[in-house]
Amino acid sequence: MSAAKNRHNTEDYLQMYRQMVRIRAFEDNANQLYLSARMPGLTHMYSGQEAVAVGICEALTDEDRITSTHRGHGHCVAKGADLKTMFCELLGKAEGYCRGKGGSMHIADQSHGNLGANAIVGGSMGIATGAALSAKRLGREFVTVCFFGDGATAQGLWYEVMNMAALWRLPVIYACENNGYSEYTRTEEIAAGSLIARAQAFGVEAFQVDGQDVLAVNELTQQLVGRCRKGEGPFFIELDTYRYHGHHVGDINRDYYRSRDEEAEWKKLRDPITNFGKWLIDQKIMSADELVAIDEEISADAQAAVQYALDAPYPDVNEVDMHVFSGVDHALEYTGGAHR
Amino acid sequence: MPHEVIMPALGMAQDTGLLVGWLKQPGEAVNADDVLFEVETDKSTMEVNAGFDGFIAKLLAEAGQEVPVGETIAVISAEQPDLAAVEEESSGPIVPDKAAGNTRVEEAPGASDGLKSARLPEKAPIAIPKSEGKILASPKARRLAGEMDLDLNRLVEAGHVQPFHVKDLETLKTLPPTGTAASGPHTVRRLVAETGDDDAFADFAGWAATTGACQDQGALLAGFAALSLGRLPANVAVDRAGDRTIYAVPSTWLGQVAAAESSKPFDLHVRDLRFTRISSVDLGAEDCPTISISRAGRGLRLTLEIAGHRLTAEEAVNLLSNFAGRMEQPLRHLL
Amino acid sequence: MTREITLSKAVNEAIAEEMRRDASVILLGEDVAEAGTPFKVLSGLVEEFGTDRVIDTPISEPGFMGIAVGAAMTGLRPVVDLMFGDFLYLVMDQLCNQAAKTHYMSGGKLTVPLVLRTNMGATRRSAAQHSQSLQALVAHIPGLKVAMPSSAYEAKGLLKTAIRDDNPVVIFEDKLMYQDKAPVPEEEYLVPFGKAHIKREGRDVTLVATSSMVQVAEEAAEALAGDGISAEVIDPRTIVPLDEQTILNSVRKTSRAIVIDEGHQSYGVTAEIAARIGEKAFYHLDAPVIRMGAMDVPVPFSPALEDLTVPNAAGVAENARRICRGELIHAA
Repeated sequence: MSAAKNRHNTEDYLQMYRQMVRIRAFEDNANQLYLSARMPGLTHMYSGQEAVAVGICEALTDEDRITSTHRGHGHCVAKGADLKTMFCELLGKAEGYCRGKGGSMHIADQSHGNLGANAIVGGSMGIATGAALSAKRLGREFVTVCFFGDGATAQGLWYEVMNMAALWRLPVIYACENNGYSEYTRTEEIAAGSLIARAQAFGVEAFQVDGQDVLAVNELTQQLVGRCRKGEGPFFIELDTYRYHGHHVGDINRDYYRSRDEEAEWKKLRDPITNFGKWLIDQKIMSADELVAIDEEISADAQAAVQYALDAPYPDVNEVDMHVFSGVDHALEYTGGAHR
Repeated sequence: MPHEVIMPALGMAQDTGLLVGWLKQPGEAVNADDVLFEVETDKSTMEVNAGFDGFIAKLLAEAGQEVPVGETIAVISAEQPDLAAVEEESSGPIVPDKAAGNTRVEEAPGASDGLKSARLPEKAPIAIPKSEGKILASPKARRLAGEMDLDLNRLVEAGHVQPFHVKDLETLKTLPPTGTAASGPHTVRRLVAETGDDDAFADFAGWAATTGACQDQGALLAGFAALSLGRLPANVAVDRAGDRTIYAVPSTWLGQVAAAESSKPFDLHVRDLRFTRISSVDLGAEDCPTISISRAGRGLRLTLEIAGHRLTAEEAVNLLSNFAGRMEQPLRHLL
Repeated sequence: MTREITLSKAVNEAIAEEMRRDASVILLGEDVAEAGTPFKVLSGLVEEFGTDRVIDTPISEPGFMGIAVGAAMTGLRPVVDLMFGDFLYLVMDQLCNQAAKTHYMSGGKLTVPLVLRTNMGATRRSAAQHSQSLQALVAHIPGLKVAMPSSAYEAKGLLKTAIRDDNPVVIFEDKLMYQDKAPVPEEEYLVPFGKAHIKREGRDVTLVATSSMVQVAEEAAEALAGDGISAEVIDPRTIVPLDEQTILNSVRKTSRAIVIDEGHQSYGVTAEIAARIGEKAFYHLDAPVIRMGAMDVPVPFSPALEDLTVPNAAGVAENARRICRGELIHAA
C-alpha cells in the first residue's frame, strides 16, 4: 500500500473508503435481486474492481466526464450517483436515471458527467474522445476518462480514436481495467504483445498501476488529469485488477476458464476495500469499529434503496415512444408510424 | 372433332405427373389459352393450358391421381356437350384402362387424405368465376360498388374483363337489370311539376353571375337539388349541354358548391334540358333520383324519376316540391 | 433576390452560414479542409473558419464518427462528412447503436445534435462500393432523421435545419447533382423537416419520388401529359419524418401511386411508402401501388449494365400508363 500521501486529509480517505463500500454494497444487492428473480435482464458485477473507479473518479470534478461500460455500476456510483435512483433504473422504474429505458448496461447519472454505460464493448471510446474534442474546441477545462476492459483493446475503434487524440492533443485518459478476462477467455489468449506498448506506439504516454490500490490509482490520476488540463493529454493507464464474479451474474460455473483458488487468493490478499481499511487503521486514521459502523450504515442505506426501488412505479406506458427524438414528445406520431 | 388432352412430360426423366386439380368442369367453355389443370412434377407445380378451344366434354382422371405421361386425361369438344349424357356415361372420372392395373393409381384415393390433395379445396374456387371474393377489382371500385349497391358479379356474368376499376362501374350501371329486379314489378315513380310564368331561376343565375357570387349555373342547380333532397353533404351530377359535372354540396351555403372528381358517386342527378327542344321526358328510373328540367311555355317543367325502392312516395313528393319551390323563388336561399 | 447556384455551392453556403451563426458548429471528415472533399463541396471553408473548426481526419470512419457523437453530447454541433454513402457500413455502430439511441437510453437526458452528410446515386461508373443509395438502412433506425434533398434549394434549406436540430440527422446528397443549378434565394431560409413539396399537381396518378428521382418523376409526368395522363409529383424531402398526410391526400385524389427511390427496391424506402399508402389509403386505390427502386443487384461497373439498374423516366411513365389503363399488374 502506497503511503506516500500521508498528508491526505481524512475526509478524502473516508470518501474513498465509503465509495468503495457503496459499490460493493450496491453489487451485492444487485446480485441478490438478480438471483431471486426480482430484476429483469442480466447484469455484470463490478465487485473487486472498486479501487479503479473510486481512485479515478475521486480525482475528477463533476464537470469532468467519464464514459462507462457494460460493467458500469461502479463507475456510476463513483461518479456521484444516488443508490435509490440507480436501483430504480436497474428494476426498470420511472424514477431511474434513464427513466427505465437503459437498465443495468446503460445506467448513468448524467448530471455528474457520466456520458453513459455502453453495452457495445469498446463502444464509448469514440464518445470519450469526442468529449475531449469538445473541451478543447470550446476552451473548457474538463477532462474525459474513458473506462474500458482488456477485452475492448481488441476493438479497432480504440486505435482510430487514440490516433486522433494523439494528433490533436486531446484531454482524454484511456483507462483500461485489465481484470484478466475477456468475457470467458484469458486475456493472454486475446491480446498479443503489451497493451501499454500499443498506446506508446501512437506517442501516447502510458502507465501501469495496481488497480487494487485506491491511493496509487488516485495519485496517478490526479497527476494525469492536471497534465490533461494543461494540454498534455492524451494518456493511457493499464490498471491491474480482478472481477470477483463471472462475466455476468449468471456465469457461475466458470471453473473451465478460471480456478476457484485463483479467485480465493485475490479476495484474500488483494481486496481493495479490506486492504485500504487495514491501511486506514494502521495509519490511525480510523478505528476498526468506525469502519464497521460505516459498512453497516452503507449496507442499511443500500437495502433501503432496494426496497424503495421495488416499491417504485414503472413508467407510464405512454412513455414508450418518448425520448426517441429531442424536441418531439411522441415519436410515433412524429414519424407517422403510429399504428393506433 | 373432339381433342384429347394428355398428361404432358414437364420434367426430366419424368414418368408420371400428379394431377393436382382441374380448373374447368365438364360442360364449361374453354379457350386454348385457359389453364385447364395443374400438375406436380418432381420440380414444382405447373399450370397446363387447355390447348384447344371448345367445351370440356370429359375429364378422365381425378385430382390426386398419378397419371403416366402421354395418357389422355380430358376431352375437349367443339360443341357444347350434353352433360346429362356425360353424367350417365360415367358417374365419376374414368380411370384409364392402361393405368387400371397400376398400383400407383390405386393409391390415389388414399393420397387424397394427404398433403398433396389438401390443396384442392383452396384451388378449386379458381375454376368458379362467380365465387364471391374472387373477383379481381380495385379496392376503390369495390368500395364504390358497395356504396352504390352495385353487384360486381354482374360484370363477371356479362363477360367483362377483370380486373375491374372505377371506370367499369359506369358500365355496370348501364347493364340491364337481372334476376329478381327484372322479374319484379316495374315500380318507377315519375312526378312532374311546373313553375310559374316567369323564369325566376334565369334571373337569379344572372344576378349571381354579375355579383360574382357564382358564375356556374350548374353549381346553383346542384345546390338547389341537394338542399331539396335534404341530405348534406351530397354529390350531384348535372348534365348540361352534353357535359356531365359532379358537384360536391357540403353545406347549405351555395358558395361552397364545387366541382368534384368525375368518378365520384352521386346522390342526385339533374338534367338541364332548358336549352334543348325537349319539353317532356319519360326516361325510366336510374339508381338515384333524376330531375329533368325542360321548358314549359314561359316557365319550367320539372320531372322526377326514380325507382320505387329508392325513394318513398312521400320523399319523392317532398324532393320535387322543394326543388320546384326553389326554382320558382330562388331567393328563398338567401333568406 | 434569387439566383441560380449549384447544389454543391448550396451545401457550402449552408455550412458557412451556420458556422458563422453558431460557434459550436464544427466540420470534420476526410479531406474536408485543404482539399474541400473530392467533390469540392467544402472548398473555401477552412480559409474562413480555420483548422480548429474544419478538421481533416485520418481515414478512420468509425473513429471520427464516434468522436462526433461524443462531441455532440458535450456541447459541439459536428457536421460529419462521410465521403461516400457506401462507407455507412463502416460507421454503423457509432451511428445506429450510439448516436441514434443515446437520447432514448438516457431517458431524454443526453442529446446528440450531429449531422452526417453523405451521398448516394449510381451511374457515375464507380461500381458496387461507391454507388450505393443506402437511405433505407438508416431510415430503419429509430432516433435518426433522414433528409434527401432534390435540388440546390432543398440541399441548403434542409442542411441548415439539420444543423440546428438537436438530433442526429443523416443527409443524402446525390453525387451526380452537385453541379446541377437551381434557384436559391439570397436571403436566409430553412426547409422544415416532415413537409413534402408538391412539385407538380395532377389528378390521375401520384408519383412520390426522392432526391434525383424527383427529376425522373417530373420528366415522366411531362411525357404522360402528352398522353392525357395528369401526374402529381411529390417530393417528401425528408423520409424520417415522412409527410404522410400530403402523400395520402394526393393518393386519395388520384387513386393511383408509384413510389420511386434510388435505393434497392426490396425492403426499401419505396416499400415503406407504398406500404403506408396501402394501409392508409387502401379504399381509395384503383390500382396496385408500384415500387420503383434500384435493381436488387450490386451496382455493376459497365455502363451498359449500370444504366439498367436505376429507375428512369421512360420506365416510370410506362408503369403509370399501365395502371391508368387498368392493366392487370402482377396478378397473384
